[in-house]
Amino acid sequence: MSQQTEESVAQFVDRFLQRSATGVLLVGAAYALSAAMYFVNDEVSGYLNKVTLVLGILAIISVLPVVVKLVRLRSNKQCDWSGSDSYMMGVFNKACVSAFEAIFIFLIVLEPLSKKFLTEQPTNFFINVVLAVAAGVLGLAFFFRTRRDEAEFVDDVDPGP
Amino acid sequence: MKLQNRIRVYRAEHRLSQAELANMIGVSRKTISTIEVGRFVPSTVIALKIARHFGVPVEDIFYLEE
Repeated sequence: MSQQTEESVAQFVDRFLQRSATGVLLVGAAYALSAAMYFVNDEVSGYLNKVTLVLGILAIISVLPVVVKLVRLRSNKQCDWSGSDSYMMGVFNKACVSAFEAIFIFLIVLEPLSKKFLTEQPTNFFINVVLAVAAGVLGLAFFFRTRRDEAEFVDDVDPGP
Repeated sequence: MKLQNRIRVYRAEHRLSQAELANMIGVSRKTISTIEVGRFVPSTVIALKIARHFGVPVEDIFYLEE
């Protein structure tokens, strides 16, 4: 059997989803730090700002190469999202549902809190918090659901010469 | 009821690895491995593609365990 060296479109779609989830998680962390800046002094806020910038750059580094490849494949009509009913796409869709559920509950809880305890915070703070929760839950749910994949990978069928 | 499958048996008969079968029907290796262990219930399209690849009816490969 020859060694599989070239990545198939289906494998690429899986990798694209993994990288996207990584990017979303990093962006979520960046939004969380941005929200945290409203509670710390200027010195710590400056430090958090730098960390936020690094997280943003890491997110771009994580996602940009696969986005470029996706655009290239789609322009060559080589990628028709045939992997849209794949396992990873299913996991990603479930993670999106989890994120929606989390953000819905979070907003219900946040609404009375914003009237009683967070009256001093600007609108941008709440936008950052909501985005952090949405992105964080999506990314974490994706990786939580896929965490056992490699351990369960069983392929002991000998393909022969 | 749980969906069971005989993909592993058919792969062994045809001496195919998960990656090879995945490439032949246009899905990722992870999709095949998670179907085999019962973690992922495949779409009708994927089930039909697998059955067509092995040249058997889909119910020969996928069945419900009572």
